Amino acid sequence: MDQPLVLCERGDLPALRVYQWLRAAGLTSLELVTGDMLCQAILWEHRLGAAPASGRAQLADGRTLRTQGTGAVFNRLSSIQEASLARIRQEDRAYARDEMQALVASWLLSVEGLMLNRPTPDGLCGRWRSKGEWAMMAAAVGLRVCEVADGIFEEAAPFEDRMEGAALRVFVVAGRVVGAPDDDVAAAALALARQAGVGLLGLAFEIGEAGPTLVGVSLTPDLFLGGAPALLALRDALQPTAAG
Amino acid sequence: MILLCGIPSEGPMRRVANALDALGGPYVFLNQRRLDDVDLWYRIVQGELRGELRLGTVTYPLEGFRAVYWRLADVGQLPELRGMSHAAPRVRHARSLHDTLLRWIEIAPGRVVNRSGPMASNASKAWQMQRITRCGFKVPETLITNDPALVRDFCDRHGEVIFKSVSGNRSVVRTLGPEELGQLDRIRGCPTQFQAFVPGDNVRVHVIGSRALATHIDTAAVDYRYASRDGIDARLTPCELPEELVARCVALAADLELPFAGVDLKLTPEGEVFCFEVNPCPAFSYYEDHTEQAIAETLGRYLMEG
Repeated sequence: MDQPLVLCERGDLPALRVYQWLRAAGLTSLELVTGDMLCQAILWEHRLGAAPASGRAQLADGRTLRTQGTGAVFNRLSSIQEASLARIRQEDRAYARDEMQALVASWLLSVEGLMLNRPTPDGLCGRWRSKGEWAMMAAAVGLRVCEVADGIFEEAAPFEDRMEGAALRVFVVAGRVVGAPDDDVAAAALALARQAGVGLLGLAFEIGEAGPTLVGVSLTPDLFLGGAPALLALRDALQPTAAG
Repeated sequence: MILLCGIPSEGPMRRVANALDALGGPYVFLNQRRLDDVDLWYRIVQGELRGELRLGTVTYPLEGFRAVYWRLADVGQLPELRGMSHAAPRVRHARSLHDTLLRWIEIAPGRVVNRSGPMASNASKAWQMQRITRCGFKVPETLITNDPALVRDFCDRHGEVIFKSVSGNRSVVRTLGPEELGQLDRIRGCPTQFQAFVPGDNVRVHVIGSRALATHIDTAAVDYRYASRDGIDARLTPCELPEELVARCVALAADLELPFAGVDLKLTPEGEVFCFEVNPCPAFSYYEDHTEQAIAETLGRYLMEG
């Protein structure tokens, strides 16, 4: 299957809406695969060694995913859920989940072409980072950042939860920045995404007298919050010609 | 000041503490067996991190710690908390403290052995293998599949084949023999990792910053860690590796952002070097016991230079 692909959880409504929008916007070859489908794949094959890592997965609906010659991937799958492995005996399910997560992380890493975002073993759509880590990284690239307090029973709400109500939202989509109020914020947002090793990043800001202050970061932002510019940036990234 | 976090009597922890005692390196111990009277908080203001760690009646500013070495057992395995409900206040306190500690460890300035994020690379041995090949190492021919026919074909092509977990879950490496081949249908429910057996000498390289200490393991066991359990001898001796290979091991650990790493190599009779995996939390006392190599001392010096 060399078409572009949306990879997400079955109940990931923002991803499903984006999938439908992209198809309506001309990306008619776009495919959708959920975490459940991966866990119920009839065949998994992943090879490593002297040749570049490669693989294929044959889904129950007859589609076959390949790591080579594929289209670009919009990947919002953060982890393998135990609930997706209902066929496995209860006592073996946690082990099976770890094994599937480990396989999918490596399998996705070996996919050629663009992937937003690339997997790590602890985060299938990018490395999980605490609010404090994002705050340190954001300050290092020049963004003004809200104060972060952490301690026993005191951890503040994760940065991921702050996108929706934010006064200003900035999106980095495959090297393009959408929604930045000025060049400095745009450059810093791009630098933060690069430092985090991701091509897709959502940043939420509050606006104060001193200017925008970062209050949230998301590896799986709802691109509808960025309006047509964010969605078009994703469509352009997923276009077969852009995926290269 | 150096912060040690873990169980003081545990082998590697005890050895690092002893090494720091001998070297005169100042340290404090966050004893995982006494978490009830420990508190930790921090605040980040525009990239500046400040906070405190309270151990009993003594409070330490976090910015005073130049280095951290940690080996935390799972909270559920601590004898003091075993059998308690997840909702029990002592368990909740311990879990929250662990979580906070791991978040701080990720961003603490100075030398941290090792930061928690990079340690996750070993949670997918296959993912890590792709990183290993980037650093110029060969890796064994590997197949991860839930298809018995592919496994049989893999065996036909490679001869002796072993199997093991893909994830970080500890598993004994076993040879795929006639009995296992007869039970291959069991993999249909969960893809399994198979590797062509690589003949040769096992070498464990402990990388500590820019230094490396190599240990040769002479054994007939497929998985030398469990040799004695199978009644097979494993003889460990210090060994010297070519400078180029040492440099590659150091570069690999650096690429994985692991200041302290256990790099598992196999040196074939043909002179090839295969790397199987990189352990992000080496239980090095096993190697010191057999070889008297100065791993703890080297690690102590690394922490003191932070």
